[in-house]
Amino acid sequence: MPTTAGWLYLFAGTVLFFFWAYGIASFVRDTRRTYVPAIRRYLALRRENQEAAEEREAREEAERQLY
Amino acid sequence: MGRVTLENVVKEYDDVVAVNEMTLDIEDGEFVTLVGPSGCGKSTTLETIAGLTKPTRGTIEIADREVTNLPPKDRGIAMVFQNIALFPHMDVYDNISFGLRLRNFDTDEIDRRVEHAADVVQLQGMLERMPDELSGGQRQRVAIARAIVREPEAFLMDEPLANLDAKLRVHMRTELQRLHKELDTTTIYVTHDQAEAMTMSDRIAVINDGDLQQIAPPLTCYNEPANEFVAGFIGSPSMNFLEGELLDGGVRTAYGTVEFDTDDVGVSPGDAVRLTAAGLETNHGTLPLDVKTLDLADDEEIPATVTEDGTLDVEAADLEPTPTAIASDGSFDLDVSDFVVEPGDEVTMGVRPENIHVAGADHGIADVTRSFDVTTDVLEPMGDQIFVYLMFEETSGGMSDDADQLLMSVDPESQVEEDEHLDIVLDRTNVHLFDDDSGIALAHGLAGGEH
Repeated sequence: MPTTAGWLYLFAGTVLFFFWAYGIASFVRDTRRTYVPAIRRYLALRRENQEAAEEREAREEAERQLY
Repeated sequence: MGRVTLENVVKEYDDVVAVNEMTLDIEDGEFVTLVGPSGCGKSTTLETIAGLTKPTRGTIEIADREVTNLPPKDRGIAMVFQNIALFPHMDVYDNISFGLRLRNFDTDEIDRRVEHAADVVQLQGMLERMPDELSGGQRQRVAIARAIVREPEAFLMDEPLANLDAKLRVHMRTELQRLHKELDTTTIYVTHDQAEAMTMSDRIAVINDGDLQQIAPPLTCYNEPANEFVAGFIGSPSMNFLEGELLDGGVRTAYGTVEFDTDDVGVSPGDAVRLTAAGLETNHGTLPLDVKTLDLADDEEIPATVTEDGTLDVEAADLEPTPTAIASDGSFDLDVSDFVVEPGDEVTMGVRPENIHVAGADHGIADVTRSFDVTTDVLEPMGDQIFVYLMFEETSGGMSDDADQLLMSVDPESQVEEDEHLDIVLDRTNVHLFDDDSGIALAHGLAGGEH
């Protein structure tokens, strides 16, 4: 039979384990739902901006041919 | 030769058709204006000619050379843009000569052309100024000079005056006309301002929703619009429209009947007609049938008879060579059913503000309609004329939509007051009739019937 200190130790360990596991699960969930989509959005936006800049440059170059 | 030809040019963006089967033939030295409301496809059409946009289908020729897939620099054209776009770090001389330096012209030739262009657009003595030291009009003249030095086959201008104030715009309009007179270079000009189109052009191409509605000299578009859209778009203020029902001998509107000889409207089964480059010739005028597939010469005509089902029975034996639009059974692939009218058909009557007169006044018009009872609403004095809004008796006194009111233009000396009861008449020679469904013009001017 554990002592009071033992019970306290087990309880504290369980609480700590819960929050450790909760943290891991939250991080995985946040990564899936927030960080990865955000990175994807950023990359897509950067790609779009690059394409738009290239299009704009091509358009300006074509317009300069008409000067 | 700076002839520009577009053959069935189509430009599609995803599921939007910006330019639909555009066919244009612009002669060397001609000034043609593409005009239409915002988003109608006029700038896209110009950009396909310039090479800034590649058409989805169709072919473009400049100076009898196909350029559909050539880059802008190899098309022999120069373009003036709405946003002017001068290089801020270059002086006027360098801005004007930019295109020539890009093409490695020698210095003497560049000097000669720049001086000539500066002379044409009156920029002498300003060649060393920077763009930020110039006014809006001067900057636009630099952009025009930059196009002139290229000595192109054709000038393309995309709303070049849109960013200028009203007074400068009118001034530059005259300058551009003078420039065209001096250089006699083919010019294709885009604007949404129909006043610009009317005053500058040899011909106007009216475009709506990507479709060419009519291409004709300005006064033809004004006096003989091909359809209700052209009639409403060309002319300021625009034409009045009244809906009605065709009777045997006139049109009945909600506000009165206008009598005329309905045999002179559209065509009827059995009518003998002729197909010419201008359209469908009848014994009472030319109807705006699209006959471009026939590729008829100016003096060529094809006799035909209107059949009961609204097609044409062509006397094909007279044709040499046989146009491709004639099928093997002798029928034409040209639908004239929109022009076939009979009593009971819904039509729209159109009349311009200057063709409405106060009954009994000394207007000098011999052939007028029966009078309509109206009440004057708002008066807009313009100096050289007064615009008078007229409400029909049934709707007077309350808010009304455009269909219930007419706009009349009268001499500034006229004694017309607000809220005055008037009898008005329409100048029958300038009343237009349009098919209610297709909007196509059925008659320009009405004749016969009771007055």
